[in-house]
Amino acid sequence: MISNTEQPQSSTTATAVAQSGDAKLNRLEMITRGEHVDAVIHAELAKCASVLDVNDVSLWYGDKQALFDINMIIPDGHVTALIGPSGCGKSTLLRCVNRMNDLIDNVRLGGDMRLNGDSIFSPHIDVIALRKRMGMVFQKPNPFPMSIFENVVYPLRIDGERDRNVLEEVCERALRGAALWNEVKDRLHESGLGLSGGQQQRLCIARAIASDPEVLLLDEPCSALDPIATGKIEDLIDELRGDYSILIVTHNMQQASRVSDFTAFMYLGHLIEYGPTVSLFTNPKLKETEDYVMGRFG
Amino acid sequence: MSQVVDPSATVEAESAKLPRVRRRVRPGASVIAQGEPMLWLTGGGLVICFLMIVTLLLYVLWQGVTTFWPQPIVQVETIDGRVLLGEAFAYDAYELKFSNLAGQSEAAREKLQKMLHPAFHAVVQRELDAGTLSDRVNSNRPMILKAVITQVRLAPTVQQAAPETRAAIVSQIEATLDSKWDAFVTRFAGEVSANAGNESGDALVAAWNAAAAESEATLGELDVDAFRKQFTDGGAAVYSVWASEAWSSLTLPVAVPMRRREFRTENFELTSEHFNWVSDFEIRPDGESFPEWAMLLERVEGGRFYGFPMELRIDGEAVETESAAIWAAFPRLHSECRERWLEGKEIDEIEGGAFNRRREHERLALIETGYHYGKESEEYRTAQAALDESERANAAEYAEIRSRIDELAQLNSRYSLLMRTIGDQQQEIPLAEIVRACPANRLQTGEKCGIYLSRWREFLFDNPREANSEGGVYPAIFGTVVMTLLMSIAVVPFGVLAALYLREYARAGFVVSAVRIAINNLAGVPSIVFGVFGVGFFCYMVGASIDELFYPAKTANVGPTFGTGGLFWASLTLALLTLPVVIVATEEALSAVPRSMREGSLACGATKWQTIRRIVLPRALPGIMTGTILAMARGAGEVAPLMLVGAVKLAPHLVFDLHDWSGSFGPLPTGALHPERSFMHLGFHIFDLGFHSQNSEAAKPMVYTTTLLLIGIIAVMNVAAIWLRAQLRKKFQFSQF
Repeated sequence: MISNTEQPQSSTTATAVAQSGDAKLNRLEMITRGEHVDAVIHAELAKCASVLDVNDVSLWYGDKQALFDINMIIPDGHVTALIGPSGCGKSTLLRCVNRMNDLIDNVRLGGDMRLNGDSIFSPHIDVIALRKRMGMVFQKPNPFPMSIFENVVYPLRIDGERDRNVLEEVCERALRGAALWNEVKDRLHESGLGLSGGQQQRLCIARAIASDPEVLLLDEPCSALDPIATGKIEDLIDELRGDYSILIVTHNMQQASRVSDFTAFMYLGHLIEYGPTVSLFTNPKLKETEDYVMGRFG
Repeated sequence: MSQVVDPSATVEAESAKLPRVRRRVRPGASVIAQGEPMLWLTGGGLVICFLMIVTLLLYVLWQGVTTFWPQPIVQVETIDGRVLLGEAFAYDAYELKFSNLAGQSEAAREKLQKMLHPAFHAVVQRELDAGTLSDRVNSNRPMILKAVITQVRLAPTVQQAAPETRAAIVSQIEATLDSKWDAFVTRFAGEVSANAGNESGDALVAAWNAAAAESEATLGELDVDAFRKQFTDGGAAVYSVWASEAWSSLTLPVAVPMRRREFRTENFELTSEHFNWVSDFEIRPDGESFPEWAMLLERVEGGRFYGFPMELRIDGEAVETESAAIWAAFPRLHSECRERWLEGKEIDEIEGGAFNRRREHERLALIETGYHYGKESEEYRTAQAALDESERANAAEYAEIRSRIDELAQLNSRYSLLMRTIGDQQQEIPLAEIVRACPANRLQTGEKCGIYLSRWREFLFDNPREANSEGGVYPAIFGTVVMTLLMSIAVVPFGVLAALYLREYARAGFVVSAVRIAINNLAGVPSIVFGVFGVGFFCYMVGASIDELFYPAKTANVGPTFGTGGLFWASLTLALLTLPVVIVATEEALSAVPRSMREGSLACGATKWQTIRRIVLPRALPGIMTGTILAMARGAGEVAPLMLVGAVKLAPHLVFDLHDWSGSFGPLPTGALHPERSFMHLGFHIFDLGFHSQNSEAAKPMVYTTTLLLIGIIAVMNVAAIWLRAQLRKKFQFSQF
């Protein structure tokens, strides 16, 4: 809703800046100097139905501000990638979605996020219930010290589900969804820690989708994997597209261009440009974005 | 091309202006840097620690393992006509001197003189050859002076004199000896060298004896005035006293190395002694033998008996009189007697025990009635009448039990063994009183092994006898294990809960740090302090409150139940003592659980407790087990606090008794477990045997075996716990959940 009103405005500003390409200061320098810059958000996003609205989100670690007034929508049923150099706040933004930052002392939040219209940052919200509505996959595979089966049905176990049939059904569906079923169906009751790194990560994805999340958060899911395992995960993300809304943080620009429908480029806690992946990579509105996706800095 | 300002570029530009510092190695630093000395230092430290531990363990192991091996029985004849029969028990090396001659028999003295006189001659000859005899005497000057003055003071005539006369005599002696010293030394040296030619040293000793006799005569006969005159003149009398002391000082370094052995010769009721020390010089030539039929009897009471079998008797009649025949018939009759003896003991313990408990209950019920209604009440009189009634029935029942025991004893009393000691005394010993018998010198290796194993079996599974210095330590093993288990059950939940709160819930800050420091300091508190706390808090406060609440009548009339030391309080005290170990180990295990696992669980929507319960605790369980193992090892070996809270020298009843389901008397139904009872503990047993035993010499081997056993039990418990930990680790980390 907010993005609808603001978006055309920022879009015009962006065009103006993009046209005066040889302006003395570009946006990145302005950010370094602590000045405010508006994000450039492509018009295509306005047409999408959103699953997650990010409204003016700011975040401070103690006195240090890590996110500056982020405004964006995460489209429903699509894959959205967050890219940017290290320390740009993309993981922090992702971890705001399921309030994982609560675990860190001295974190302060501003603005709000809405998951299908429900506030996320409100102090009255039940964080546990909120987290049950999403799935998260971390940088390093973190299967629990239990069997593959128990790993997958963990979200149901903590909800008190005991019906064996339900558990088995969910396990199979999630493992098939994570393209792991054929590899592990004969050893469901062996330890999840005995799997290879790529399999472990797909197991974590299976765990994340076992409870049918409204949004799937992937925090650099391939950074600890070899190229083959990375390829499998990327194929998997491709398959999950449409069934789930996915928000993925990645360092790897090729990966973002391969798997995502939309891409947001961030720098030092600011959203710089956000639009359909194809146009962001082939025809960015900003020179800074072009420099980054071409690998000229970062 | 890039317009982005790289912040590190400016830093680099600035540092380029600074002069570059070349890295250089100081002389000497390279030796340390190479690490060679540190390798030796650290390796040496390890070797020293390792040696200390291994030496201790090997010593205990060797002593403990060899204790029960049957030793040969030695017959020793001494030169003064004593004959001893027993086992060599201990060895001791010492130095024989002239002073040891006193109190020896004539024959022994003669033999000793043959050793000492040549040694004396050797000492003197060495001084003469080196020309240092005068120096030697001069170096003994203060000693000789003091001895002469003492001798003179003790002379009868001087003792009778007035005090001022005595003082004058002493000062005169000092003056005279000062002035005449060199002359005396010269004269003495001449006498010594004149007598030194004789290699046997007899001439030297004769001269010494002559000097001593002269000195004695001088001191005994002279009246005080003449005495004073003699000293002033520096005449012969002064010299005679002086020379006697000079000779004595010269014999001081004379010593002959000697070995003595301690023989276990017990037969205590006849000889009133358990052991005899015999020096090697006392033994007659060929005086050591191993008589074939020397027998060792280990008895239920009265210690060991060494002697020769004379007759095997049934009903007082000799049925066998030949040693071989006696020994052939002995095992069958003996085992029958022992079986009857054990049966009687069992009847006494189980049936008699149950009977006594019932009586005790009835008596307590009466006391209870008296406590509640008063001793003048109708209820009390009724109860009293009922008790009298049941006492009459009891008396009949007891008579029945008693008669069965007596019958067995009667049967047993028919069989006995007549033994002859080495001193030709006769002693009749009932077979039932003999625990074990063997003609030690006739045993083959197989039979020795049999005796060895039977002694171990008795040690492990029987009750102690002879004030703990013989028999078994089963109750102590039992007490140690039960106490350690109870302690673990108490300490692990509390320790884990405390560590969970500290590590998972508490917000890191000053208070948590303070608590953590306090816990770590608790681990350094001397264990006796915990014992004092245990007896004060658990026994006298909590226990007394329980008594007041549940056993008021018994407490008032009989004594405390929980208000005194017992297994339960000992376990809790040790739990308190080992709590820091568990908390610290658990905290470490918890902090080793990776953050990513907690985050993964929380991201699934698990609550904190679900995460702890399902992810953190299973992952940390092996570490928690490690803490438990350490706590058990510490707790099982602890003695000091136990002495205050319930470990005793001899506990007649086990704390867990399948024959006794009465629980703690009264309202607390604990079944076969009796947590209020005091108990025996191996650590305390060692302390008691080694230092509080009537016959601590005989108990010494038991100290080693008990120590070995304690170490073994702790090792077994540790290995079991380590195995369990490995299983858990496998279960929770690498295979099925």
